Amino acid sequence: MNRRKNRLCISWVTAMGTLACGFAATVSFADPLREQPVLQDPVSSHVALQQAFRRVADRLRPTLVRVETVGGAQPPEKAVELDETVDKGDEQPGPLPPPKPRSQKPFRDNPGSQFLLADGPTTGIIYRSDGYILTSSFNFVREPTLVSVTLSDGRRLAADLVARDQVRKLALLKIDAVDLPVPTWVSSDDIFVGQWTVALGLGFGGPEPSISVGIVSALNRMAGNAIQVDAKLSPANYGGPICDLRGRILGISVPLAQRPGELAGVELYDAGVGFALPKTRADDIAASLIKGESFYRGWLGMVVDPRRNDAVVVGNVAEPSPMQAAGVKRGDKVLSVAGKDIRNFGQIQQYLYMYPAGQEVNIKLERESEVFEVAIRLARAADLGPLPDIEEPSVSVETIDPTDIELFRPVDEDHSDHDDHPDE
Amino acid sequence: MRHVYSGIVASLLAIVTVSPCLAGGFDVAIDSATHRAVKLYGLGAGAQAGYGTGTMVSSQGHVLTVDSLLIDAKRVRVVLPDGTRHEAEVLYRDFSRQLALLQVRRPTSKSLVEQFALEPLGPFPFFDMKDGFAHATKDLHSSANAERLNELRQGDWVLAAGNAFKVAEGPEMVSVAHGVFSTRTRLDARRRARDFPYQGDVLVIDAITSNPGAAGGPVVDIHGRLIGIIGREVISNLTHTHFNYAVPLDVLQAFYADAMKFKEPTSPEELVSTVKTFEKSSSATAAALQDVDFGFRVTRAGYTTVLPFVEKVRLGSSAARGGLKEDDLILTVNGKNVADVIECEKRIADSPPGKPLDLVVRRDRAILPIRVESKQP
Amino acid sequence: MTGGTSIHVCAPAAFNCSGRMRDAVTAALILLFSFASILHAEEGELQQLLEQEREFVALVDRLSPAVVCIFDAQQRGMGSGVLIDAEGYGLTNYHVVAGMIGSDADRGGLNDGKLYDLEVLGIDPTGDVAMFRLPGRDAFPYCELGDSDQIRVGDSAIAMGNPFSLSEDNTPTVSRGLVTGVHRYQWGVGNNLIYSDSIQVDASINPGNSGGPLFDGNGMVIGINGRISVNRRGRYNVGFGYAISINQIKRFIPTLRAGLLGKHGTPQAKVEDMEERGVVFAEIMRNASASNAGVRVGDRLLSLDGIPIVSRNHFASVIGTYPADWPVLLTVDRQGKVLDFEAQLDAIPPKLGKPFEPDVQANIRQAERVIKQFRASVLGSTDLGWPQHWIWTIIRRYRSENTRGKLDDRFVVTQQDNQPAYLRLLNQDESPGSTVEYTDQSAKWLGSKVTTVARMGNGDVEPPGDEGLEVPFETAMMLNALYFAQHGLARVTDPLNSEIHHRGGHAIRSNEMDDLTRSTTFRGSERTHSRIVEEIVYPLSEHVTAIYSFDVDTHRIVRIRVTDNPTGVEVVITLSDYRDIGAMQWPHTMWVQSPLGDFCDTLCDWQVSP
Repeated sequence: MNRRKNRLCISWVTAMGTLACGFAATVSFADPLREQPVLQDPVSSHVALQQAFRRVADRLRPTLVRVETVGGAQPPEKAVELDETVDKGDEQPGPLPPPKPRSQKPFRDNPGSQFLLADGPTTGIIYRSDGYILTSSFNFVREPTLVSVTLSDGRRLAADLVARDQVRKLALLKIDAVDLPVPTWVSSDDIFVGQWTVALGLGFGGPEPSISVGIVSALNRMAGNAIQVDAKLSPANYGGPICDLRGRILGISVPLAQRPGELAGVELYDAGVGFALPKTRADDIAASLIKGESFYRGWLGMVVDPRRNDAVVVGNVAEPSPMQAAGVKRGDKVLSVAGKDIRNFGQIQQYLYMYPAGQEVNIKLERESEVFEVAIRLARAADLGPLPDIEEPSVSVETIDPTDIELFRPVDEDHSDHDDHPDE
Repeated sequence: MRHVYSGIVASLLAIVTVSPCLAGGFDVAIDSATHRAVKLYGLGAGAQAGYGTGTMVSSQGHVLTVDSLLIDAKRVRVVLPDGTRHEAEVLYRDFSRQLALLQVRRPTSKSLVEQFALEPLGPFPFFDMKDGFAHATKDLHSSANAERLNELRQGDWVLAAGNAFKVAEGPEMVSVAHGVFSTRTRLDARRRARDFPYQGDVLVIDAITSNPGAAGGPVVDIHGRLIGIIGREVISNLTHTHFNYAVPLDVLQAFYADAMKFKEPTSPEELVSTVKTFEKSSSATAAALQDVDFGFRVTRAGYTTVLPFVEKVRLGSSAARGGLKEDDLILTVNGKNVADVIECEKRIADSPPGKPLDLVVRRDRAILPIRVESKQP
Repeated sequence: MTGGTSIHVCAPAAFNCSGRMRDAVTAALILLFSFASILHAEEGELQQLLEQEREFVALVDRLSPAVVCIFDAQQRGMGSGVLIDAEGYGLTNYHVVAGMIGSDADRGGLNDGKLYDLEVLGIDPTGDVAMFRLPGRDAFPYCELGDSDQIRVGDSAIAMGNPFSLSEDNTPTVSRGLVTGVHRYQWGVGNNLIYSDSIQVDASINPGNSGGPLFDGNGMVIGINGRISVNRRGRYNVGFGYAISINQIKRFIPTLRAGLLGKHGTPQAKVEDMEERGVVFAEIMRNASASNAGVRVGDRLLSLDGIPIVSRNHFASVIGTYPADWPVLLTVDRQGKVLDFEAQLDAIPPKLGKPFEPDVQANIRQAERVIKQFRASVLGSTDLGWPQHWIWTIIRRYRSENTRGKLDDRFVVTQQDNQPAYLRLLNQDESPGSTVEYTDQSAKWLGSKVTTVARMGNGDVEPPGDEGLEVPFETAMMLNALYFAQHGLARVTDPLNSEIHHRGGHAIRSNEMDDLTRSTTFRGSERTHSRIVEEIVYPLSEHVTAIYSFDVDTHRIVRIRVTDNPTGVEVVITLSDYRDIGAMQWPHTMWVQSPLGDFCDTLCDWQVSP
């Protein structure tokens, strides 16, 4: 509101100045309606829109960088390319079946692992004028040996990967440069469902950013981390900005999914379901990343009792683990996680995939019909101890569904036991 | 003061007159594209759909489409925008550009010679290949807008029309898709495991057009002017995604000129005898691997990923003259990123004979371009 | 921020520095350069675009509260839905709730973050539509239904729903696009999930969007999203989504609300495309809808209910939108002669995993709802009550094949205080009000034999003998029907309390009424005179049934059919020309079709005295 007042005020000054100077060229200024055609016919509205999209790209261009990586390989997931194995395209004869119940076997069913990484350039946003660049960790899944950054003025510089957030898929780069232009970010509270979004990226090559437009589809997605947009987001613009019509950044585009895996979420590319981290979240994460602190997946350190189908009951608790620290015991019933009612184990996983280690989450439990709530600070997988032996043979670790251990042990650190485990 | 006042007036007017959804903004574009898109039905096999789309580029029934298995069919069937069914002959096809030109004919229930004794079909609405303007059969369709039309620029709305998924069988209107023109770039893509022959410029668009049957359909701007046709389904090597793009008008124009130069058949007999297919094997993949010595060697390939560090530069070689040093890490070869030694060697081998090799290398923390002249054969 | 100012020239709004400074620099530049007006125009244009954007944001804000995220008993996201009235009735896809029928643990989430119980009511497996209800709140937010036949390619479309179950707070995902095709026919799986008349959009629609609404640019529901085309990438949006058109769904809504199984109609005939365009009947099933109507193989189908048919696909698309038993008009060209046939469509049996149990409670609710709406719309207000005393005088001209030209005979019904109606035919020279007589001659209306039905003098009503009058069967039917045509209007206003008396061979006795009103049922939807109607069945006696048809939009009674079940003899009374009488609205024209003949252009003069 203030800004708008300012603008009007300045424009008024401008108008007065113009009159004083008596420039013939600005006489039309006195009759502004003439230059402000009301966009009542739809074609001129669309023409105005496309010009606005382009201006957004022009304005943001100096603050975008091309990120290139050298070395590294496809992450060691089963990189089966859907395209090569499923040769049948065309129409899907049936209608949409209901979305499949969320897989209890995130590792084996991980569609993200079907995505094959390419090695084209990717996009980053200048975060601080002293050389910090925010981009998506997706761009470094290959664990590259070298990262290079090309500025809009053509300078190409080697970059250091300072730190990354494996959960929110954000990464911070540092280049040796000063006085870099920095874009304006929109306050996270100032984003509205339905507003225009312009996604920019440098992944298709060429000097100018590619443009994709859409609207804000939803707020508070992915455990409140992200906004959702229907612009076409893909590796061509992950790490790039999602902007409003004024050329301010609404968020930084990242692939996200409610399941683990560095490629999780990429399978949604171009599907009109994309995510971006808005200012508050990006700033929070960046503040840690600048200090060199990376984020890893958070773990509870428990398995559920497979005999209980009616409820989610703790089957065993690792020692040490966040659950153990909070006093959770075998037999406790999990009622809610982060304020969400829990009906099945998959839901816990789903909610927690977006919580990094170190973050606190409230869990409501029931023990002998007494309800209590504990605050649990999630741990890194490496900090979890083993599951203690249980006397009752029926709840031994062997009989626990191996996929439940998934919560207990990360797939990205050790997947051999999953591979060996026979399908039940 | 007046400015403030006018701002209020303008915003009031905007509230009154503008629907939030801008309905109808694409009417001109939709009208233009759908009335010049034809449905094609021909040969299909495996992943190749037996249907596709064409774009009318002359009032006499010339149809531009992509080169594909589809038009290998003995009879390519055409459904015109008015719903009438006809057949088309293949006049010209260009393997390297992946384009083809067809001509709508009367159905071949009679012999070819008999057919041409009949009244010619048409005239048809079409896009003028000179400038992409949409023409009705006689008059200029959008000449009034001519002055408003500028060069296509990034962010401009685009509208694509086509027979994707053959949703619209028979006389129904073809499907459309809208989006914006994202960027213009060179195509670096493949079709499943194979390289894609066309490596020229494309218009990346954010409407999803990489769908079965869509290729060959017109892509127009908001004023209904042709800016390209939907290209074949490919996967970008840069992003590894299904890639939505149009073959730009200038490439179409060059192709059309070639096709017209080739020979305009005059009589039916001549046509029958001259309908041939021309395939040019100019693909980079088809080029034989050559052993060109640039005077340097990179690390040998091993079982794990090996980065392409320069291991040895021969004294006095073109590599040495170009400034390449041992221990340089090669990042790109001829503009293409190389992830490892194998790829690096392949790119070097693919380098066209007689042309210099453009490298980008990292030396310590510097990133340098290096040009290595080719040894004269 | 350092560095910001240098880029200022080209990007006044994009950089992070103080607004005052930015504006100062901007102002300076404007003064310096004469392209000031261009910038100014740009800014003006941007302001207008932002205004449009705000309107769109407001629209989305208004629609979102009525979009439902549907969860099964395990709280897994199954799809989406949309509420269409304040009572919590909503639409979704059949395939979304197919596994929930009969379960009572399903939930619907709204964007207030709350989960509500969700009860599946009627289903239409063939059209992939289902109705559900969220109880537990006084007034739910809801969306209004638009007219999908007005939608054109290029119109804006907004899709909402819960793709990939992404919503954690039950707020829907909103995506925007264009209508990219209309009246699309999409094959189903056997008899199920056929998208006969779908709207194709390029707004992003993904698994989980199923059952969610498709809105037009004004926020009216124009379809229910339920299907996408996918390419070899997998089950992700590739710009081809399909929504079942709301106009098709509207024809099934009454059935679905009442917890019934919706069935689609078929003429049991196939058409083939002709050489260049048009279609011809190629196969017609014997003793079925089309053949009974008189259509023959080789007839060229010109139009279906007035819609010109251009292709086989088009025929499938249009015919697929009709419920079973609906009448359709087939206009064909038979060797140059244009003929019209009305076919009563046969039912396509949907494929069901287990037999569908109609929801009795839903049926009762729907019958009550229809009557309530009728009262509200026809009486002006439900609180108005029914006048204690009134006299309807019907003077109608009728024309019948059997009247043999005696066109001016008049027929009088007088009624007071819910008393039985007395009928009388007046000769032209007689004046109304003296003797009520009924003329009968071998079931024909006019003739030599005159029977006194009732006598009326000085306002006193004197019924005939206790046993009523022996009249021929058809006459009794006619009397019943006419009686209900008049009395029925009053009766449905309060079906549980009013008493029905009538005399005649098959008339009802009042002591039967208690049982009968309890067996009132909602029957489903029908069509008459191109209006969709909702039908309520009243068993008038053991043998006689009356079906009242209420216009689905105006809630008026437009037709009453009285049927003698053992013989199947039917009298149909069509009511129209509703006009204001005081605070009420009453029909002024009646069309009576009976075995005794048809009354045409019947004029009713209702006089209601309070």
